Amino acid sequence: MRTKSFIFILLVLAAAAVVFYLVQTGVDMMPGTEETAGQKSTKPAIESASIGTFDTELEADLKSFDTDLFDLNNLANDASLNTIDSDMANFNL
Amino acid sequence: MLAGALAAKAIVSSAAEKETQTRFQEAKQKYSNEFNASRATKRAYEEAQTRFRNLKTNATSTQEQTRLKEQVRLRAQEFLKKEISAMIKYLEALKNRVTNMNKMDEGDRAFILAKINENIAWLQGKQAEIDGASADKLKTISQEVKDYWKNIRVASRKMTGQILASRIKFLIGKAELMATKLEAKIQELKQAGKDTAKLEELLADFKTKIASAKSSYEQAKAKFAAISSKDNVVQLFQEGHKLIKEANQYVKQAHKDLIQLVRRIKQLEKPSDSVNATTTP
Repeated sequence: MRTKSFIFILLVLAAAAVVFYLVQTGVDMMPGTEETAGQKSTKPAIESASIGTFDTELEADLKSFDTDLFDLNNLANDASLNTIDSDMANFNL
Repeated sequence: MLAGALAAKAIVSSAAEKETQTRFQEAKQKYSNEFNASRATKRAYEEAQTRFRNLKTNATSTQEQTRLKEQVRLRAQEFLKKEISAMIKYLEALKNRVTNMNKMDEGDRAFILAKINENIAWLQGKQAEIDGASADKLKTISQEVKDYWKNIRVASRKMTGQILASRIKFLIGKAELMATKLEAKIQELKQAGKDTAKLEELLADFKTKIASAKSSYEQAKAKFAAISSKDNVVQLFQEGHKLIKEANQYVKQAHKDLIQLVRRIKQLEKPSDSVNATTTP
């Protein structure tokens, strides 16, 4: 009896993990492979919710890119680097 | 449910970016502190040098001259160590930025990090040779570090360019994937009898902009790859940087199309179909 309960709990947990994974990865709802060319799909081929966030997603990526561009450019052009160049060039013991 | 998951993902991503910024600012501050500390050791070294030179001209005792010469060596040692520390902290700030950068090619990241680590290890090795080094040995070390630093300056610009190229490549790749999905969605709407003419026009423009961004990225990548010495680093970096900014502008223009595409798709998908697709802006 104990073993059966244990297996049941394991199965429930496994099922929950699969559902969680599918939600997290945002799996696309593709039409079933059994559908023929002439049949109309009852589900959308491309998940609308995913397309609905494309613009905000790209906008966030563009903002993040701007930050990286700014940071890296500043780091590469930091004036103190020229001072180190000249320190090393003039080091004369 | 999926939209909720995506929204949650966006919040997590934004928090992660803030964390990345904080860590980078900290690493940059450490570099700044080390650089400032090296100024004090430089002043102490220069002062010791001046005292020694003045004594020589005043014909002071040999013992005093030896003592002050030793002071110069010790101050030079401290200065050189601090200067190398500042170089290391600079590379660590760059490493920090690359390590915590979210959206870049993993192969590019690994390659760049390996280069940075190699440079840091070399500098640390030289720093370890400084303690107890004679004046002649210090001269040799300083010459080696000077030459190596010149190479680091060229390499760090090249790496910065490669990081930027890798980042924009990621952005372009994502936009291309979006274009594929949008194309499929438009086909689906078309098959459902919706008027998709405007959508097709916007998508064509979106794809043209992304293609232009890709072309600018390819050119920038070539410019950064061609950086080989201090003679060409400044010019090639500037040209590459300009092309990266150009690619970024194209993606921004494509984003404007994307906003309209998403809005129109949402309108066409409304179950009641109350919105006339041909008249919406």
